[in-house]
Amino acid sequence: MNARERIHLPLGNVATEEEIPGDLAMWFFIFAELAVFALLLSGMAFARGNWPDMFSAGVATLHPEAGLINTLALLTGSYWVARGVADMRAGRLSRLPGWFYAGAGSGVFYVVIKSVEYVQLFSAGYNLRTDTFYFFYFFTTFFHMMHVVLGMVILLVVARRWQRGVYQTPEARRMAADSAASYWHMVDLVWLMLFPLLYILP
Amino acid sequence: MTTKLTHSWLALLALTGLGWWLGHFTEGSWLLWAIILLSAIKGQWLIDHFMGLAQGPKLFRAIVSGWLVAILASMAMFL
Repeated sequence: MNARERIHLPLGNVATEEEIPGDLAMWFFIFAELAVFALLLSGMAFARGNWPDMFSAGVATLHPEAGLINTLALLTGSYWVARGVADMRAGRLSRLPGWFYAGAGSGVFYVVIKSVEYVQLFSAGYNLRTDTFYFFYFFTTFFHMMHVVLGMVILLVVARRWQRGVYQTPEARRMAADSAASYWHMVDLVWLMLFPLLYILP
Repeated sequence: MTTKLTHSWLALLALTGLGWWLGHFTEGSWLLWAIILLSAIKGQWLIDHFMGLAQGPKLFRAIVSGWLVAILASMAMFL
Protein backbone atom coordinates (compact mmCIF):
# COMPACT_ATOMS: atom_id res chain seq x y z
CA MET A 1 0.00 0.00 0.00
CA ASN A 2 1.45 3.37 -0.93
CA ALA A 3 1.14 6.64 0.96
CA ARG A 4 -1.60 7.91 -1.34
CA GLU A 5 -3.78 4.89 -0.64
CA ARG A 6 -3.19 5.27 3.07
CA ILE A 7 -4.50 8.84 3.01
CA HIS A 8 -7.80 7.60 1.59
CA LEU A 9 -8.40 5.03 4.31
CA PRO A 10 -11.58 5.66 6.31
CA LEU A 11 -11.26 7.78 9.42
CA GLY A 12 -10.25 5.90 12.50
CA ASN A 13 -6.80 5.06 11.27
CA VAL A 14 -3.94 6.78 13.04
CA ALA A 15 -1.47 8.87 11.09
CA THR A 16 1.36 6.93 9.52
CA GLU A 17 5.01 7.95 9.29
CA GLU A 18 4.53 9.29 5.77
CA GLU A 19 1.56 11.46 6.69
CA ILE A 20 2.18 15.10 7.46
CA PRO A 21 -0.18 16.22 10.24
CA GLY A 22 -1.91 18.86 8.14
CA ASP A 23 -1.28 20.80 4.98
CA LEU A 24 2.33 21.17 3.79
CA ALA A 25 1.80 24.91 3.22
CA MET A 26 0.70 25.29 6.84
CA TRP A 27 3.87 23.56 7.95
CA PHE A 28 6.05 25.91 5.90
CA PHE A 29 4.20 28.75 7.63
CA ILE A 30 4.82 27.13 11.03
CA PHE A 31 8.55 26.71 10.29
CA ALA A 32 8.78 30.36 9.23
CA GLU A 33 7.04 31.45 12.45
CA LEU A 34 9.36 29.29 14.54
CA ALA A 35 12.38 30.88 12.84
CA VAL A 36 11.15 34.38 13.72
CA PHE A 37 10.43 33.40 17.31
CA ALA A 38 13.87 31.76 17.54
CA LEU A 39 15.46 35.15 16.82
CA LEU A 40 13.26 36.91 19.37
CA LEU A 41 13.72 34.31 22.10
CA SER A 42 17.49 33.97 21.68
CA GLY A 43 17.73 37.78 21.48
CA MET A 44 15.85 38.02 24.75
CA ALA A 45 18.13 35.41 26.36
CA PHE A 46 21.18 37.32 25.09
CA ALA A 47 19.87 40.65 26.44
CA ARG A 48 18.95 39.07 29.74
CA GLY A 49 22.46 37.64 30.07
CA ASN A 50 24.06 41.01 29.29
CA TRP A 51 21.78 43.19 31.46
CA PRO A 52 20.80 40.89 34.34
CA ASP A 53 19.99 43.71 36.77
CA MET A 54 17.70 45.46 34.29
CA PHE A 55 15.90 42.21 33.55
CA SER A 56 15.60 41.25 37.22
CA ALA A 57 14.03 44.64 37.95
CA GLY A 58 11.70 44.27 34.99
CA VAL A 59 10.65 40.71 35.83
CA ALA A 60 9.83 41.89 39.37
CA THR A 61 7.13 44.19 37.94
CA LEU A 62 5.33 41.29 36.20
CA HIS A 63 2.71 39.08 37.80
CA PRO A 64 4.10 35.52 38.06
CA GLU A 65 0.63 34.14 38.83
CA ALA A 66 -0.65 35.59 35.56
CA GLY A 67 2.14 33.81 33.67
CA LEU A 68 1.34 30.53 35.41
CA ILE A 69 -2.41 30.81 34.80
CA ASN A 70 -1.86 31.65 31.14
CA THR A 71 0.49 28.69 30.68
CA LEU A 72 -2.06 26.33 32.23
CA ALA A 73 -4.78 27.85 30.02
CA LEU A 74 -2.79 27.39 26.80
CA LEU A 75 -1.78 23.82 27.73
CA THR A 76 -5.42 23.01 28.47
CA GLY A 77 -6.43 24.58 25.14
CA SER A 78 -3.87 22.42 23.35
CA TYR A 79 -5.25 19.36 25.12
CA TRP A 80 -8.79 20.18 24.04
CA VAL A 81 -7.69 20.69 20.43
CA ALA A 82 -5.73 17.42 20.50
CA ARG A 83 -8.86 15.68 21.83
CA GLY A 84 -10.79 17.03 18.87
CA VAL A 85 -8.23 15.59 16.44
CA ALA A 86 -8.24 12.26 18.32
CA ASP A 87 -12.03 12.12 18.09
CA MET A 88 -11.84 12.80 14.35
CA ARG A 89 -9.37 9.96 13.89
CA ALA A 90 -11.65 7.67 15.90
CA GLY A 91 -14.56 8.54 13.61
CA ARG A 92 -16.43 10.68 16.18
CA LEU A 93 -16.70 13.54 13.71
CA SER A 94 -19.45 15.52 15.44
CA ARG A 95 -17.31 16.09 18.53
CA LEU A 96 -14.50 18.01 16.85
CA PRO A 97 -16.17 21.45 16.67
CA GLY A 98 -16.89 21.44 20.40
CA TRP A 99 -13.26 20.73 21.24
CA PHE A 100 -12.04 23.40 18.83
CA TYR A 101 -14.47 25.99 20.26
CA ALA A 102 -13.18 25.11 23.74
CA GLY A 103 -9.59 25.51 22.51
CA ALA A 104 -10.43 28.94 21.11
CA GLY A 105 -12.06 29.75 24.46
CA SER A 106 -8.78 29.08 26.22
CA GLY A 107 -7.23 31.58 23.81
CA VAL A 108 -9.81 34.21 24.81
CA PHE A 109 -8.95 33.57 28.45
CA TYR A 110 -5.25 34.03 27.66
CA VAL A 111 -5.85 37.29 25.79
CA VAL A 112 -7.94 38.72 28.64
CA ILE A 113 -5.28 37.90 31.27
CA LYS A 114 -2.51 39.28 29.06
CA SER A 115 -4.46 42.46 28.34
CA VAL A 116 -5.04 43.07 32.05
CA GLU A 117 -1.29 42.67 32.56
CA TYR A 118 -0.57 45.19 29.78
CA VAL A 119 -3.03 47.73 31.19
CA GLN A 120 -1.49 47.49 34.65
CA LEU A 121 2.03 47.96 33.28
CA PHE A 122 1.00 50.88 31.05
CA SER A 123 -0.79 52.46 34.02
CA ALA A 124 2.42 52.17 36.05
CA GLY A 125 4.26 54.07 33.31
CA TYR A 126 6.04 51.22 31.53
CA ASN A 127 6.09 50.97 27.75
CA LEU A 128 8.19 49.75 24.81
CA ARG A 129 10.68 52.59 25.22
CA THR A 130 11.24 52.27 28.97
CA ASP A 131 14.29 50.00 28.60
CA THR A 132 15.53 46.88 26.82
CA PHE A 133 13.60 44.55 29.10
CA TYR A 134 10.25 46.21 28.42
CA PHE A 135 11.02 46.39 24.71
CA PHE A 136 11.51 42.63 24.62
CA TYR A 137 8.60 41.99 26.98
CA PHE A 138 6.00 44.07 25.15
CA PHE A 139 7.20 43.32 21.61
CA THR A 140 7.63 39.56 22.02
CA THR A 141 4.53 38.88 24.12
CA PHE A 142 2.32 41.11 21.94
CA PHE A 143 3.67 39.43 18.79
CA HIS A 144 2.92 36.08 20.41
CA MET A 145 -0.56 37.22 21.45
CA MET A 146 -1.32 38.12 17.83
CA HIS A 147 -0.47 34.52 16.96
CA VAL A 148 -2.83 33.31 19.68
CA VAL A 149 -5.57 35.44 18.10
CA LEU A 150 -4.78 34.06 14.63
CA GLY A 151 -4.83 30.53 16.06
CA MET A 152 -8.25 31.22 17.59
CA VAL A 153 -9.56 32.49 14.25
CA ILE A 154 -8.27 29.37 12.46
CA LEU A 155 -9.87 27.07 15.05
CA LEU A 156 -13.20 28.92 14.87
CA VAL A 157 -13.25 28.94 11.06
CA VAL A 158 -12.47 25.22 10.83
CA ALA A 159 -15.06 24.36 13.51
CA ARG A 160 -17.75 26.46 11.80
CA ARG A 161 -17.00 25.06 8.34
CA TRP A 162 -16.94 21.56 9.86
CA GLN A 163 -20.46 22.04 11.25
CA ARG A 164 -21.67 23.36 7.89
CA GLY A 165 -20.37 20.24 6.17
CA VAL A 166 -17.82 22.01 4.01
CA TYR A 167 -15.26 19.21 4.44
CA GLN A 168 -16.82 16.36 2.49
CA THR A 169 -13.99 13.84 2.22
CA PRO A 170 -11.91 12.19 4.95
CA GLU A 171 -8.78 13.74 3.46
CA ALA A 172 -10.28 17.25 3.52
CA ARG A 173 -11.36 16.77 7.13
CA ARG A 174 -7.97 15.46 8.17
CA MET A 175 -6.14 18.30 6.41
CA ALA A 176 -8.32 21.00 7.97
CA ALA A 177 -8.29 19.59 11.50
CA ASP A 178 -4.58 18.71 11.56
CA SER A 179 -3.51 22.04 10.04
CA ALA A 180 -5.51 24.09 12.56
CA ALA A 181 -4.33 21.93 15.46
CA SER A 182 -0.66 22.05 14.39
CA TYR A 183 -0.72 25.85 14.25
CA TRP A 184 -2.36 26.06 17.68
CA HIS A 185 0.21 23.70 19.21
CA MET A 186 3.04 25.77 17.66
CA VAL A 187 1.69 28.86 19.45
CA ASP A 188 1.61 26.88 22.70
CA LEU A 189 5.17 25.60 22.15
CA VAL A 190 6.50 29.16 21.73
CA TRP A 191 4.79 30.22 24.97
CA LEU A 192 6.40 27.29 26.82
CA MET A 193 9.77 28.91 25.98
CA LEU A 194 8.67 32.47 26.80
CA PHE A 195 7.23 31.44 30.17
CA PRO A 196 10.53 30.56 31.92
CA LEU A 197 12.34 33.58 30.44
CA LEU A 198 9.75 36.01 31.78
CA TYR A 199 8.08 34.40 34.76
CA ILE A 200 10.25 31.68 36.29
CA LEU A 201 13.98 32.34 36.04
CA PRO A 202 15.06 34.75 38.79
CA MET B 1 -5.57 7.46 22.63
CA THR B 2 -7.63 9.90 24.71
CA THR B 3 -6.30 8.40 27.94
CA LYS B 4 -2.75 8.94 26.72
CA LEU B 5 -3.60 12.53 25.81
CA THR B 6 -5.17 13.11 29.23
CA HIS B 7 -2.10 11.73 30.98
CA SER B 8 0.16 13.93 28.83
CA TRP B 9 -1.94 16.99 29.65
CA LEU B 10 -1.88 16.26 33.40
CA ALA B 11 1.88 15.68 33.25
CA LEU B 12 2.39 18.99 31.44
CA LEU B 13 0.31 20.83 34.06
CA ALA B 14 2.26 19.16 36.88
CA LEU B 15 5.65 19.98 35.32
CA THR B 16 4.53 23.59 34.77
CA GLY B 17 3.50 23.89 38.41
CA LEU B 18 6.76 22.28 39.54
CA GLY B 19 8.87 24.66 37.43
CA TRP B 20 6.97 27.68 38.71
CA TRP B 21 7.37 26.53 42.32
CA LEU B 22 11.10 25.88 41.88
CA GLY B 23 11.60 29.31 40.33
CA HIS B 24 9.82 31.16 43.12
CA PHE B 25 10.60 29.15 46.24
CA THR B 26 14.09 27.75 45.74
CA GLU B 27 17.55 29.10 44.93
CA GLY B 28 20.82 27.75 43.59
CA SER B 29 23.00 27.50 40.54
CA TRP B 30 21.19 24.27 39.61
CA LEU B 31 17.92 26.15 39.18
CA LEU B 32 18.66 27.30 35.60
CA TRP B 33 19.47 23.73 34.55
CA ALA B 34 16.38 22.38 36.28
CA ILE B 35 14.14 24.91 34.50
CA ILE B 36 15.80 24.19 31.15
CA LEU B 37 15.36 20.44 31.68
CA LEU B 38 11.69 20.87 32.60
CA SER B 39 11.14 23.11 29.57
CA ALA B 40 12.82 20.54 27.31
CA ILE B 41 10.62 17.72 28.63
CA LYS B 42 7.44 19.81 28.29
CA GLY B 43 8.32 21.02 24.81
CA GLN B 44 9.19 17.56 23.49
CA TRP B 45 6.08 16.11 25.10
CA LEU B 46 3.93 18.67 23.33
CA ILE B 47 5.71 18.04 20.02
CA ASP B 48 5.29 14.27 20.26
CA HIS B 49 1.86 13.83 21.78
CA PHE B 50 -0.16 16.97 20.97
CA MET B 51 1.39 17.90 17.62
CA GLY B 52 1.46 14.19 16.80
CA LEU B 53 4.96 14.31 15.36
CA ALA B 54 5.99 11.13 17.19
CA GLN B 55 4.08 9.31 14.44
CA GLY B 56 4.65 11.94 11.76
CA PRO B 57 7.50 12.50 9.31
CA LYS B 58 10.88 12.18 11.01
CA LEU B 59 12.19 15.29 9.25
CA PHE B 60 9.39 17.46 10.66
CA ARG B 61 9.99 16.11 14.17
CA ALA B 62 13.72 16.76 13.80
CA ILE B 63 13.13 20.38 12.68
CA VAL B 64 10.73 21.25 15.52
CA SER B 65 12.80 19.40 18.13
CA GLY B 66 15.93 21.11 16.77
CA TRP B 67 14.20 24.47 17.24
CA LEU B 68 13.47 23.52 20.85
CA VAL B 69 17.09 22.52 21.48
CA ALA B 70 18.38 25.74 19.87
CA ILE B 71 16.19 27.94 22.09
CA LEU B 72 17.13 26.08 25.25
CA ALA B 73 20.81 26.11 24.26
CA SER B 74 20.69 29.89 23.82
CA MET B 75 19.21 30.16 27.33
CA ALA B 76 21.96 27.95 28.75
CA MET B 77 24.65 29.88 26.87
CA PHE B 78 23.56 33.43 27.66
CA LEU B 79 22.02 33.14 31.13
